[in-house]
Amino acid sequence: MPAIPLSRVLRPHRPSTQAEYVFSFLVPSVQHSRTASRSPVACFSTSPALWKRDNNKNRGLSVLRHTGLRPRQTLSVKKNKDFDLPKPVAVEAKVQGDEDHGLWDFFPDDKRLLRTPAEESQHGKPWTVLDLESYMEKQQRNWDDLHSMWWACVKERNRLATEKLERARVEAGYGDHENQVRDETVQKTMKAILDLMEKRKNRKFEAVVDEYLDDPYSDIPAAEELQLEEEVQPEVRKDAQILDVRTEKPQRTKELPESAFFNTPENPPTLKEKMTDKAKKVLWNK
Amino acid sequence: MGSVEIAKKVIGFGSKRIHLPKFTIALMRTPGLSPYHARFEVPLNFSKFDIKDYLYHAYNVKCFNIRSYVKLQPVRDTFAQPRHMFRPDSKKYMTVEMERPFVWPADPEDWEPWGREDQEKREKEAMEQFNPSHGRRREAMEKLKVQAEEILRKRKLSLASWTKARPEKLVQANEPKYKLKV
Repeated sequence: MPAIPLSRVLRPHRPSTQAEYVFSFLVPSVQHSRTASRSPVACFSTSPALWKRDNNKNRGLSVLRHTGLRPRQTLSVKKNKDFDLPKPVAVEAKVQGDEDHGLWDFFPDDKRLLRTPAEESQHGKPWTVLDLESYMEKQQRNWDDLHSMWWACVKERNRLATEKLERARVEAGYGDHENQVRDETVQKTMKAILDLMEKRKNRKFEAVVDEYLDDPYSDIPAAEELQLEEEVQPEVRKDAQILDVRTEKPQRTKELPESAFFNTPENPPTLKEKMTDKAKKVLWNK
Repeated sequence: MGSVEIAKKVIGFGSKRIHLPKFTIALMRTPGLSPYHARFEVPLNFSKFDIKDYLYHAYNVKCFNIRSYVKLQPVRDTFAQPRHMFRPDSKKYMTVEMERPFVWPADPEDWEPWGREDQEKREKEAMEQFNPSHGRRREAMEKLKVQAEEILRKRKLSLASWTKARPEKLVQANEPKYKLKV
C-alpha cells in the first residue's frame, strides 16, 4: 500500500461539543490545520478516500446460498410502521426415518436409545464348550445354528460398542461396568464356539484316543477272572512269586508267552496296534 | 419422505468369505448431517469395500459414497504408569450415504436409571474435598470463631447466644445447667 498522506485519509472533523473546542490544542496539529485550510481532496474513482466505500451494494447477497439480506440493505420497498416485510416461511422437511431400517440392529430391541444398567446386567453365564456340545447333540443342531449364534454375538457386541459411545457423549452416568461385563461374557461365548470347532477338527484323532482311553489295557491280554482267596495266611516261601493282578496266572514253564514278542517279521503289528501306538504317542506327548 | 432409489452401477462384492468375523463396529451420531448419512467407528484395518460388504450382508443396508477418516490420538499416559508417554492406536471413522434414511431414537425422558444426578453429586463432593467452596469455608470459620473466643478470652458465651448459635437443636444430655431443653 503506497504511503497516503495523513491529510488525505483524515476526513474533515468539525468539533461538535464544547469539550472538543476546549481541548483542540491537545489534538495533533494536523487536525487544526485541516479546519483552518481545507485542502481539496481528489475525487477520482481510484482516489484513496473513495476506496473506503464499497461500490457493490449487493455484496454477499445470494439467493442460491440462502444468505439473507444484508444488515443495511436498501430495498425497493421501504420499511414502514404500517407495513412489515413478509418473512419467507422456513421449509423444513422433517424426515421420518425408516421403521424397518437395518441400522435398528445397533439399538435395543424396543428401539430405545440406551439400555439401563439394570437391564444390561440381566444375562447368564457364557456358553462353554461342553454346554454347546450337549446342546448340539440334544437339539440335533448343525453348523448353521452355530454360525448364526456367532453372528448374534457379533451384532450384540456392535450394539454394546454403539451404546458405550452414546453414553459417553450424553454423560449418562453409570453403565460402563455392566457394559464391559456383558461384552466379556459375549466374547467368552464366541471363544467357546471357536474351541468347539477346533475340537471337531481333531475328531479323527479323538476317536483313536477315546478307544484307547476306554480300554487302556487293550494291548495287554485280557486278565482271567480272579479267584479271591479266603483268609489265607501269607506263607513265606523261598520261591515266592509276586502275582500281578492284571496278568495271567503264573506259568510254570520257562517259555515266555508269544504276545510278549511284537513287531517282529513273523508277528508284525496290526493296524489297531499301530493306531493305538500313535495315539499313545500323541496323548502322552512322546 | 420416501427412499432414494440408487440408479448406480452396483460394484460386485468380493469372493472371499469370512464366516467368523472378529471385529466390532460402532454407530455414531451425526446431528450435523442428513438422516441419509451414517457414521461408524471401524477397525483401523477396515476398508471402504469392507464396510459396504458388511453393512449389506449383516444389516441389509445399501450404501454408497463412503468416505473414511483416520484420526490420530494424542500422546498420553495412564494413572497406573504416569509419565510413561505413549500414543494410542489411531481411530478410523467412515461416513456412509444410505438409500433409506435413519432417524435416531429420542433421548430417554428420565436419566434416573443411569444415576446421572447421583454421579454429579459424587463428583461435587469429591471436588469439595480438594477445593472447598466459599460457603462451606465460611460456615467452618464461623464455628471456629465461636470456639476460639471461648478458649482465648476464657469467656464462655452467654446461654442466650449459645442457644441461638448451637448447631443441634435437640439436647441429648440432661444436665442441670441447661435451662432450656428442646
